[in-house]
Amino acid sequence: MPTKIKILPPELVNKIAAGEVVERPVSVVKELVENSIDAEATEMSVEIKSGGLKYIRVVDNGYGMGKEDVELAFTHHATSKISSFGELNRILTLGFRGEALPSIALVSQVEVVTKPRSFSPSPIKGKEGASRPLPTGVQLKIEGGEIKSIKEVGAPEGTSITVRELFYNTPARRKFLKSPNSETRQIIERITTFALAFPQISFKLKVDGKETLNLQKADGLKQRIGQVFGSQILKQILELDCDYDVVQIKGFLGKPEIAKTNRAELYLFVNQRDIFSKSLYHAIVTGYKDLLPRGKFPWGIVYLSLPPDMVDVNVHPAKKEVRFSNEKQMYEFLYSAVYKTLNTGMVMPIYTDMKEKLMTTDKEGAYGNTPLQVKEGSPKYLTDKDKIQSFQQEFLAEVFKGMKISPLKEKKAGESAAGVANLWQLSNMYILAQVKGSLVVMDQHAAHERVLYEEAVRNLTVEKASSQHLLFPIVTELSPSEFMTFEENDELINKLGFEVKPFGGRSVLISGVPPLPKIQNGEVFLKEILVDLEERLKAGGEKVKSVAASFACKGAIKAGDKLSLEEMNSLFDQLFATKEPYSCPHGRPTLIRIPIEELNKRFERT
Amino acid sequence: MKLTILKSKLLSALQDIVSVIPSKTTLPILSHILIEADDSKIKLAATDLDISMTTTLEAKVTKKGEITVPAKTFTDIIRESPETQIEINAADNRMELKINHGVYKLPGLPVDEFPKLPTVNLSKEIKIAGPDLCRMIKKTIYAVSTDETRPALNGILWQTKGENIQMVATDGHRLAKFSQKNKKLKGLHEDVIVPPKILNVLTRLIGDQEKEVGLIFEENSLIFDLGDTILSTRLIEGPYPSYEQVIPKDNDKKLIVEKELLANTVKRVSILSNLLTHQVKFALKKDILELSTANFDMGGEAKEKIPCDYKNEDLDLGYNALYILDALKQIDGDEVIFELSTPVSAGMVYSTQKKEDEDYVCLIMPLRLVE
Repeated sequence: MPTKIKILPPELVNKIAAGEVVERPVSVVKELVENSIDAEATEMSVEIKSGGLKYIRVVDNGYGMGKEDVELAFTHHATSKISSFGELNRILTLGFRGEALPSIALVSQVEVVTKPRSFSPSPIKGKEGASRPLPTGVQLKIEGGEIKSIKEVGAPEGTSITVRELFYNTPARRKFLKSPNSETRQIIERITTFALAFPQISFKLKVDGKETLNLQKADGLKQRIGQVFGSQILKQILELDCDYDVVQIKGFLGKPEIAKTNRAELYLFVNQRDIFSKSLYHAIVTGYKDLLPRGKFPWGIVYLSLPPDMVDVNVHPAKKEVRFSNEKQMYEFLYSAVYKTLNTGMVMPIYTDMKEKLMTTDKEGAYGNTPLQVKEGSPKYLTDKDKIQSFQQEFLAEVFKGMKISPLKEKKAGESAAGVANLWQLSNMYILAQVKGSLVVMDQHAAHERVLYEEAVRNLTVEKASSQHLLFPIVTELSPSEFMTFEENDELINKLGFEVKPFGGRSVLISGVPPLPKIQNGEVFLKEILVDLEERLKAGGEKVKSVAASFACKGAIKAGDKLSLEEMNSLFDQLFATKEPYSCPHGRPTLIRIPIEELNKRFERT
Repeated sequence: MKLTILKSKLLSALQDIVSVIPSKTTLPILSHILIEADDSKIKLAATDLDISMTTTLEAKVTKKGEITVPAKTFTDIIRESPETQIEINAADNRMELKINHGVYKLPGLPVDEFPKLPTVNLSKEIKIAGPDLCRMIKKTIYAVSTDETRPALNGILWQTKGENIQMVATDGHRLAKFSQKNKKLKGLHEDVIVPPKILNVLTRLIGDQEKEVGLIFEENSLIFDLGDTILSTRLIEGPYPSYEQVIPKDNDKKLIVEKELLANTVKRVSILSNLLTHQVKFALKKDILELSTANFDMGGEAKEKIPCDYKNEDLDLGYNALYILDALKQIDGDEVIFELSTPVSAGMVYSTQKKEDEDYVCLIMPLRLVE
């Protein structure tokens, strides 16, 4: 009987391993750019076509490679960067595993043209001192891991690596890639991140022949931030600069007014390597304390510099995660640096110490922290269709009994809430109403989201929405990825009620905004929608639905918004005019009903 | 500190001053009133850090001193007291009130925690008639923006230039501008952005009184001198958007319509408008204005024609009914003029009866009409 378990042939093993390093086009870009940076390049230009699948080229002016080095570079675990286990503890370069180039070569067609600098000592360990002839350029072609040709050519100093037809021999991998646009966006993000880590290097990026980024060498991080995010932002950021012996924390923090709805613009670097760390993000957010509105994330670019032996970057092949020898201490340092910067920098210049005092007393818990004890058993949702309808009628009859609902009703002095006392807002989040001896609780955000979602879907498919024209049209610069999302969806965005046009570069001109009562800043609203929309599209959402969902999510009243009685009325009214009033577009319930029997039971009134 | 004062006198001062006390604060001292007794006068002060108010009233002071007390509690006790002389004693951050046969004791906070109040430099003061000031405020304040991300729009732009005084407010969708000649302002040249809260307090304090108000423009603040009462406010930092540019100069279409008729019709028609946009369509034909609306949520529709004076080519516009009504409410006279151009540019609204030395216009940006 033949054995079922076989030892895989080495080519297959290598291909599988390659997948770990080279997951998608952006991983190739990342590895190549990292190599260029380690080669002390000061100028770098990247060009991609079709999201990097067809073509990726990275050209640098780094110290290049000689002929033997080139061949060696494409062998597994060949690296110029470390030579012993001991050095693994003091990694100073970005790359070090020696996996990148061979892995890329295994799954694509690579062409390298390189020439070493004539004056610099060879960076290759163990080769120092050897007398070298005047360097010449070398061209190496390698396909699916096999060297096809190698010859001497004329070339400028530095290295140019072209990667064509990525994953041509691993069709399964190809299938799992997202659309070229989505891959492009990831590459733009990656280059932006590198640009922020290395302001002294100039970066150029061409996408399908079009120049997308052109960042000159910057005189420090501040200038680079201006290049990337537009110079308007420089007025809204505070410099972070704290030295705690073991770690230096530098960078810039956004003032609370430019807080974002996600973490996309919170960059964290450890020894110039961008990393992901839940705990350090948390430290930053906590440092902002109550300066940030609920659900918002700070804008920030934060650099930690610490001795290499205190941080382990060899946790994951993509090197995105790191471990600190003392994580808790790092948290404390970062937290205190952020807190100090915000509270000396601006926000409340006069009353800082007072505020601090108050916060500490708050922590001790004036209100106590005993949570409300609730027994098992969740509230029952209405499921039966007939029941829903009859409930809806009862509900409307009861809630609006004796009320005149008019959007233009003016409040008369002395007019009390009599007659409408059956609506009450809890914690500026839920609206409570009594319906036939039941307590009905509405989630104001979810309910409004449903209303806006249906309105948006209608506006996108049937008619164009109304738009409030602005007296002062706004010109604003979008980030590269925001701009891309805008370009791909500009027609739908205008149908939502915006009047937005490209205005040169990544700028847009906003001359009209959707007339929503709680939305006043069209610029912020547009950007929030674009960021949210990008996430939804990345997750594979259908276009119209995603645009409508982003609009509804960002335009809806939030938990925490105080509503007037009129607004609460109007919300009930609008919710029941929708097709599916009982759930928000994400499927969360908008209303729950707690029957009086349920309350009786809980009060043990049997 | 020791003094006696009549209940009604103290209460009316307190009722004014509590309007400055913030309803929610993280700084306990801000919920307190500062009381200073000096010779034959007492001074009450309150602040929320942005605005402050001090008021001076006569009292029989037998021992000078100062104290802070929680504003609400103190006011509640005085309100519930019978009309009588109230004796106030204070020492070591505690106040004792003797009201007929009753004794009430209140704890205070250290006086030095109370924020420093602005000093009043009377030499820079200029006077202006109170009712004029209130009128200007009322006619512009409705257009002030509440969008916190654009702080400059959160106040009224107040400009004095030569003999001209002018207030402007806008939220980016509409704008109100009121200017007036005032000979007393001669030589004054100020551009400040004033938060609306102080202006609301001010108009309430002035009420119908025909009195003069002293103005003192300081570097970062503005002070109002009402005699016994001093109000001060922090100013909002500029720059204010260059509103002059958006005031249309060549709107060539002119609509003249009766104000009450238009307001009532807009109100009626908009009952069926979309609850979010309040959109009402203005369809202009020769001497006829047709107002209409449709609401897809409710399936309701409304249409009404009113007579007007309009000689230009037909024009369809969309407006937020609330903006139209806000403006009509503030415009004087029986007839209004709309100066219009296109469905996407600002319409200018003003009264047919202009007062001499006065200029009041409202701008309203249209809504894109649903196609």
